[in-house]
Amino acid sequence: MSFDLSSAPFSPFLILVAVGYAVISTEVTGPEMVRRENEIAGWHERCQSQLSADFQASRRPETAIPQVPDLGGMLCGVYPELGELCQLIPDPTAVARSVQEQAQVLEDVRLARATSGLADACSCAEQVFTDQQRWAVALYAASGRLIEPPVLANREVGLSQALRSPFCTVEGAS
Amino acid sequence: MIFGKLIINDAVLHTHRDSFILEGIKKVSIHRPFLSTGVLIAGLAGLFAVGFADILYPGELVLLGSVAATSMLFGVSLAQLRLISRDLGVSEAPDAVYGTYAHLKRARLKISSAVAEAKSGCAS
Repeated sequence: MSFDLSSAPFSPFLILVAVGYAVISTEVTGPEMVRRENEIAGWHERCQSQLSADFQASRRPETAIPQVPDLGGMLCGVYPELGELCQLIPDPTAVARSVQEQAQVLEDVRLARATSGLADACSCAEQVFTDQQRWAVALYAASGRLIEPPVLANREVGLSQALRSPFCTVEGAS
Repeated sequence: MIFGKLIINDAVLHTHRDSFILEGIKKVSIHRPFLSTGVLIAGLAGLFAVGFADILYPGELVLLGSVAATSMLFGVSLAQLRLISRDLGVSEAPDAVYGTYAHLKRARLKISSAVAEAKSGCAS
């Protein structure tokens, strides 16, 4: 038994066109239109400033160094003639200050590294969001905005969730 | 413009693949097989262009407009001439000649006249 497409009630080309349009909407136009809309809505700037604020808030507080009097320094200040004797009495806070300075440098490096990856993290969140909402994005693009699924109407929520996903962790953020 | 061959010669119609005795032709018809496809492509391209006009680049809008116009033009102007044999019926449909609608319409009239002539010649 042969199957004659010419006797079908609709042209086989219609199916090809419909399938092609669906594929293009899913793979190309949908993600691209959503990306452009996010860009115009200023989501990238908000994402980066939010992440930056989060990092600054997560800055490790400086360790308080106990205030211990520098006996050697005080002694030499009063009796400069004691000279060498003053050098023998160590400054008790010198080591703590040195450690604190090193910690400060490391913290600055961590924050600088984290901040440099903000744009990547925001783009990653966008990518994860469009991948997760592939069908909604495709429907939105294919319908020329006539159909806007709720997940796209409230896309800020979805993007924020995607930003917190393990795929988009910023290096040095923790 | 006709894709293929369509010659009427001595009560016989020659296409690029077959030859038909004019007397045996029951029906000559013209269809636009790509009309629905062309309209669909034009509609989808137009829908997308209008829907996202605010975020599409001018070049992209021009491209979508061109796609819509071209597909509509092809859908309307491309036609298919079907020769249905008295003996073989609709199964002959695949032996169709493609071309522009205007040319095929003129060809259909010529073939119809030739068929009528051939049949009247046989009857007398």
